[in-house]
Amino acid sequence: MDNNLTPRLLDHRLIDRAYPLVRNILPCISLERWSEFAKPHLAARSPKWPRGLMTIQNAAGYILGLFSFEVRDDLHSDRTLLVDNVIVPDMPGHELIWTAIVTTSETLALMNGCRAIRIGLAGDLDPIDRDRTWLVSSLAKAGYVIEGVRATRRVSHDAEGELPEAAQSASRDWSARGHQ
Amino acid sequence: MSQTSNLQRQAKLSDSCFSIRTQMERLPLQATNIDALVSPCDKCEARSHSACALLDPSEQKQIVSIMTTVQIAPQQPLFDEAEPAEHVYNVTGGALKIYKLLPDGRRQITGFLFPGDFVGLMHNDVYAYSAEALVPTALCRFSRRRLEDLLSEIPHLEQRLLGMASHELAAAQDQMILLGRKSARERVVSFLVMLSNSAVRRHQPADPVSLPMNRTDIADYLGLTIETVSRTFTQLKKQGLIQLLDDKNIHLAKPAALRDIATGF
Repeated sequence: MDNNLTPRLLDHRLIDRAYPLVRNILPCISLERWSEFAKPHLAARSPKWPRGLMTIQNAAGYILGLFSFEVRDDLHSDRTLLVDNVIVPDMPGHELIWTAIVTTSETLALMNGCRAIRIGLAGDLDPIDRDRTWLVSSLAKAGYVIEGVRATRRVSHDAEGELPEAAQSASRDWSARGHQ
Repeated sequence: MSQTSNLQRQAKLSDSCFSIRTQMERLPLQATNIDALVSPCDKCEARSHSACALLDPSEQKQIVSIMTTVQIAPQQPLFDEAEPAEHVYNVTGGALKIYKLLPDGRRQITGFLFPGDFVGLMHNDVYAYSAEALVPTALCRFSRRRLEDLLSEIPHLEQRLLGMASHELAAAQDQMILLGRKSARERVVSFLVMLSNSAVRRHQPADPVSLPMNRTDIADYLGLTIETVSRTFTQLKKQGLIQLLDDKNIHLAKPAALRDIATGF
């Protein structure tokens, strides 16, 4: 049996097929929400600044891993490949899927003339998690260093009237420019 | 089904899966590596198409040292969704259904697993699905932690497991393809073709197709009502495409035509 893993871009036909993998990591996500997230990533964009969703498939064509990528200009690192929304199922052999994601990111960066790769990990892939020491070591082996801080705060939309004055002013300015 | 009948079936399953003595009696000893006889794996009918197929005798011994065998009766749970996921399993006989609980309390069957399939996908240290036996079912059970330790010592087993491991995930992806089919007829026929293909992968005949699950499970899996499933089977039978041998076996009378329907022609 050929057990090789192959990276393939997600296209419209694969959106539904990728759903069980995504649901495995995010149990509450609906198929509609996943489609709503995925479709803009597949839409045509300037070839100079590509983005998309990449899948990691086994020989039988089953999707075992997934991530979003985007080429962006960055003041610190110039042209940079951002890798995010990494989905790796927790099963025997998952380190091989992770390795395939790192290798594929490298290829994408080279193909697109990027000077850096920035991989964002959240939730259960957080390398600070004590069960994820293999993740830190595999990133280090691949030449990554952990740098910067990414902080998250959930935003409540229940009390918009109670926004600080500065935030209300910014919001009015945003609306005046025709944004919703 | 009576309890006695269940016990008889379990005993039969136990005999067919784990009787090493019978295996030893059947093999010509002079032609056999004695190391290969110390393991229940030698008698395992699922071995040739499971993750264990590539193991040499010493690796097989290592696997057996961290393994226990489990047998479960029909309708008995193997594990429940959100239960701590301490073990992974390899199905060696019988069949399982896997399902997820929906927020409204209903359950959605997401796949069926057969001998050779690996089961125990988890998320945040708990099982991502529930698994329940459809018929008397035999499994090898591995401690997840000990298996992970062993994988670092046997790299090609890790590679092999990756190719086969997440059958729950594969089954759920197959289901998404089936649900993408428009008509009930296409879904039911695709399901039969899928079971036939799955039997071939397990070195079983492509025909007749064995249905260890009941009509309610099929309807749930295909997103149809039980009446629609029964009506579709009857229509396919009237058209001479299938023959209902009994409640659990279907003869694919016109396999080429059925494959055309399954692929949308």
